[in-house]
Amino acid sequence: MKFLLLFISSAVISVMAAGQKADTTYAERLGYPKGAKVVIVHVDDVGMSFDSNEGAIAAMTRGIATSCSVMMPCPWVPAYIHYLKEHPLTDAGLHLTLNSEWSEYRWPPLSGKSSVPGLVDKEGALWRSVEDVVAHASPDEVEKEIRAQLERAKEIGFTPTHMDTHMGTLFATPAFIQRYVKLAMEYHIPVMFPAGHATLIAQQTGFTEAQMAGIRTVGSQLWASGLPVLDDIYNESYGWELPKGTPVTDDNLQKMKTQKYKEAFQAMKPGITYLIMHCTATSEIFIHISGSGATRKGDLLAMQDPELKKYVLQEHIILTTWRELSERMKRLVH
Amino acid sequence: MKITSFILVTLFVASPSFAQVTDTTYAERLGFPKGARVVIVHVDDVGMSFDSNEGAINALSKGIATSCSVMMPCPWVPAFVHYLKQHPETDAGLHLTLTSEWDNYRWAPLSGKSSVPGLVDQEGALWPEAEDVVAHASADEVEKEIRAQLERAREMGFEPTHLDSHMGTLFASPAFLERYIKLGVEYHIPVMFPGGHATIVAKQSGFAGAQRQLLKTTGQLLWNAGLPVIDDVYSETGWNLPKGTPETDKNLQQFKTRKYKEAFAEMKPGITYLIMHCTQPSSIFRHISATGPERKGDMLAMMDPALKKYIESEHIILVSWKELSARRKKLMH
Repeated sequence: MKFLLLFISSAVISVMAAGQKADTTYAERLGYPKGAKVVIVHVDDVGMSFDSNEGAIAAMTRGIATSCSVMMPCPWVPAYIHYLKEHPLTDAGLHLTLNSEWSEYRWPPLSGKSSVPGLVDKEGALWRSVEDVVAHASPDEVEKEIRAQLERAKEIGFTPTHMDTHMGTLFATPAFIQRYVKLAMEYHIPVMFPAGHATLIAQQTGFTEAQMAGIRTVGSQLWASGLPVLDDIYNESYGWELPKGTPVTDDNLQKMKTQKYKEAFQAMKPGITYLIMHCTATSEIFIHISGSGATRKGDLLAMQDPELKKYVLQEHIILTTWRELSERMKRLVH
Repeated sequence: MKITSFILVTLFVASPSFAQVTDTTYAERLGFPKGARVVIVHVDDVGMSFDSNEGAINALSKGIATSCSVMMPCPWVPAFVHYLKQHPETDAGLHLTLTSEWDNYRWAPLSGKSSVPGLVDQEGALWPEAEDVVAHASADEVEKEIRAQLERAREMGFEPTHLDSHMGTLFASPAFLERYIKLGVEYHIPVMFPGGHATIVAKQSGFAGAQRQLLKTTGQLLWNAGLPVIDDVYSETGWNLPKGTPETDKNLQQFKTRKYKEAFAEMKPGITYLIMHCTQPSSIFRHISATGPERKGDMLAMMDPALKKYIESEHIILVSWKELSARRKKLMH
């Protein structure tokens, strides 16, 4: 997910305000020690390409990544589902997809153009930008497509541990957020939603205190429905680049990204933070999909860096999965 | 297209048999010299992968291939359509796609599962085999999906020069075939259909008298609708390097060039549609399919100067669908 366009408009807030502002983190409520930094180290964009699958698998099995999410309209989904069936403990959710952002390599909605015409552009694919989806698609179309993606997962025998939103499109309007949260409750699947102190995501997106209050209210609703809730989201890694003039070698990418991730862990406040990455084992084809290969490969290399693992241990950072959060929540509810 | 499931059931024969069976080839009717071997050298599976696009472009622009067709539900379609806009002279049709045959890399119908449930398997993709489609999908669903593929092409500004059928699925039942022909006529787009002497395709598929008669009747129907018709289809099957021969580019090229020479030698006068799968396989391709070397061999043969020389020395005429349509149009006016 490129989360750059995360703007929760104040309209949703007024609808949903009145959230009690608890100072206790959701981490504590789920039984983690007071003051602990608990992190879901999350790989986005699985299923998008062969390279995305390989990157996610490597980051999770040979690196410190703990969770990932799958883009159901994309062609490499079956490959990853076959992997999941061989590795059923893998923490994998749905990266709900309403965009097809690249120039040459693109996917249509699963629901078909005739049932969701507002989601489809002139090339017969999902729109490239979040703004286009907001301008052309109705919340009903969005909901229909989300249901189609959930249904495909179910039919294929894949039970998602959580849902999140590709490019943040589901956070782009109050009406979209409402469907996202509604479906989470209906299907009883946790969603990525920064509903605790939300310190880092507020900094990044410039939320007002009123918006924060609205977000917390939605968090309370999710919690009340029996779902685990996140405190914060960290979403800066996609934009990290090597300084101009530094050669784009694996070594340089790894050093830079490891350093940046250390700073990210450092910046996190106590509570559950969801760290967004795009680990990819880029093949020679990836350049024809996207120019983002280097940043994605850097994510993968950092996750596999023993140096970063050492840092996480040293700092007593607790790495967790959606599966664990859901189990903790379940125990609380019973 | 793998034409393996090309079973023209005799039911279809019930349709009008007004056709006067003439011995004149469609090539002659379109003004090619009597006795000439006219060939559409056709690349299937464009848009399926990046590698398919590269292979088709190489075979068409640096080799002797003359035409290709695009699988509209596949993710690399925009890349090829962008190429088409830069190279509008390219002969490109629709490789109508009702199957998604690989294990790990798969595509769904454009119409969406809720409107064509019978076209979708448990993985949410099109079925892997033509037989599955016959067993589960109705002709109405097939028609709906074909229309969705046509509509996507037109919406993108891509006017297909012809239609054909991925894995021959549209030839797998009389009801499917009827829709295929009907839509060709309705949209006035030529279809791949061996409506003439059909010598090679009959041999490859084991067609007997009544079926061959049916081919001719349908060919006449297409011709009467103002569309150009091909006489025969050549679909190579099972061309693999002899066991033990290393799969080097050189070996693949030599082997396939020899096979294609034999194919050309076997063709009868008339228009023959030669089916290939030219691909420039990347390191990813083997994760899609094990057919990489075969497909690469097709591309290398098309680019082989030896094959080009052979074509010239045998006076074989290579054509595109565009040319056939232009000739057909001239006859109408």
